[in-house]
Order: sequence, then structure tokens, then C-alpha cells
Amino acid sequence: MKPILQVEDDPNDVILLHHALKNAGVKNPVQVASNGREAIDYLQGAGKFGDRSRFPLPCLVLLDLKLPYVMGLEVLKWIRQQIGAELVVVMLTASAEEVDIKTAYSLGANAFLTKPSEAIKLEDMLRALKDFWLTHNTLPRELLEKTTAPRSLDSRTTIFGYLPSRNGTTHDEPLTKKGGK
Amino acid sequence: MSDTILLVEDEESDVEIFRLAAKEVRFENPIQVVKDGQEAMDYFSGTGKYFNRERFPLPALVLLDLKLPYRMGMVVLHWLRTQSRFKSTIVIVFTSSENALDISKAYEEGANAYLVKPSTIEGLGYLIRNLKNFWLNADVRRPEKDRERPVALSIFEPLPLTGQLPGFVKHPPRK
Repeated sequence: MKPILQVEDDPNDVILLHHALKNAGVKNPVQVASNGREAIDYLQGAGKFGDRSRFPLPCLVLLDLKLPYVMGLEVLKWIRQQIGAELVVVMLTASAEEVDIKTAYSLGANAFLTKPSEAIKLEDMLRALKDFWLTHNTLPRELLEKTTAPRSLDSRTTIFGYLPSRNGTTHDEPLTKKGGK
Repeated sequence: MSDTILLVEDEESDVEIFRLAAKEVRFENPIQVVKDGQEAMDYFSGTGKYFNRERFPLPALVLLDLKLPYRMGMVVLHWLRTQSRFKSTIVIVFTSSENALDISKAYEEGANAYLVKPSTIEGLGYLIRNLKNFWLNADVRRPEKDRERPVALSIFEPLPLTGQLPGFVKHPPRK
């Protein structure tokens, strides 16, 4: 089962979330990156996260906005440029500022959650998160099976460039590499 | 705040089943339906029969089918993401296609999520309930101002007088 990557610098929030995820019935392992730099290292499989069997690519990233070294929105931008559009990134932050919400969505966040102050509310939220993102939402199978390092943008273009549009697909134009959201 | 959801779906039977399943799980948000890609774009731009924003409010989220007449769902999604007003609108693809290329393309074009239509009405009810729990409860933030900004009523504005008769298009000088 693929892990959830939590990018969070506050150790108390890490513990709170860990408990709440358990209570919400989430069985996926949780990996923690405690700042933006670590999040990128994790996703790249660099530094202490070099071992992919111990640190597999996550099925979901829970990303805080305010992080040391590299801010959450920078991490999001990096993910969309380097990993692609198919890694689900849910912002989980104390902020409820309209400008943060809008920027995050325009940079390609899948959803934006504001941390509730009560533990019971956090559990409800994570239950809803699990039921939607880990139950109903569909990802390309290729991504689900992928265990290697993230592909580069070039190899991605090549992969899609060689795949012809077949009957039964809904593409009405040749697939070309587009930017993220 | 609008809590309307917009269903972009050409199959009438699918719309009926959606409404039934929604009723079954007590989903009470208003559901607006448009039947093809062009109508979806008209709805968003508030043109034609959709000019009345009170009757046709910008939705809290869109459920977008991919196989549509006139304009494909992917084209609608692409169009929405090129409009600054709708760049952060929540768009959830809702389709019967499980094709990996469709899924990848939808995310690349900026879909927030991708849902494969369940085959049973119970499955659909379950999905609608979970969709509501996540997207329409108080804790998930959706961009508000996108949806509340008034749409320019360009059809009521007089055409600029350029001193030209209709039909004459003045080309910019070549470099």
C-alpha cells in the first residue's frame, strides 16, 4: 500500500495527524518530510530518502503552506513541473486566506483543506479525504504501478508522443505535452 | 455562496440516475445540468440563455463528462483553465472512461479529480455522498471570489464606433 507523504514542520501537528488518520480508518503508512527541501528530496529519492523500497512514491501528498527552507507553494510548483499532474496534492494548512487558496488551486493543488482546531473535526475531515481520494478518485494505472524514480519531463513527452490515439479513447486531437494546471 | 453543482452530461438517462441517486442519499444542493460542451461554456460565460446569474449561478463544482456532443469534455476543461476567472474552479471529471490516456490527459489539463461512473445506483449514491462530504462540507476551501465576481455584460455594451462598416476588417500593418 502506497504511503501518504505529510509535509509538515510542526512535530505536534505530525502526531495529531497521525492519530487522526488512524482513527479515520486510513491504513496507508504515513511518511513525513519536515520541510520543503525534504519533501523534494523524498519525491526525488535523494539524500536520506534514496531507498525507494523504504520510501516509495506516495499516493497522496498532504502539504502545509508555511514550511522552512522551501515554502509549500514552491514544493507544489516543483511537483507539477517535475513529477507531473497526476500526483494528488492536498494542501493542509492553518491558512484560510483567499489569496492562498486561489494561488494553490491555480498552481495545481487538487484540494485545499484548512486544519480544524478540534481533533474530532480533523478526524471527520480525514475520513472524508479518505473516502474521496483513496476510494473514488482514479489515477492512471501506470502511476499506481510505478515504483521507480519520477520520470523527467523529456521522457514523459516521449512516452505520450509514441502512444497512438486508439478507438475507444475520447481524444479528438493528438496528445501533446501540455503544461500543468 | 453558491452551493450549486453543475453536471455536464449529454445522456438523459445518466442525468435521471444521478438525480435519483442524489435524492437517495439526501443530496440537497441544487443541480444544474448542461447537455453539451458548448452549453457548458455558455453557462460559464453567462451568455445566451444563461445570462441570468441568479438563476444560473457559477457552480461550487463541476462534474464533467468527457464524451459530449459539439465540444468534448477535454476541450471544455482546457478552455476553463485558460480563463483566468475559472483557473481555480473545481472541475471533477465524471466519465465512464477508464482509459489511462484519458485519465492522464484530464489531470494534465487541470482536472482536480477523476471519477469513473459507478455501474450501480447504490454505488453512485455512495460516491455522491462522499463527494459531498469532501467537497461541499465547510472545511474544504474553494475559491470564493471566482464565483462571485460579476460577469461583464458585454452583450449590453454598445459596439465601439470605429468608423468602419461591418464586414471591413482592418489588418494591422505587416512588419
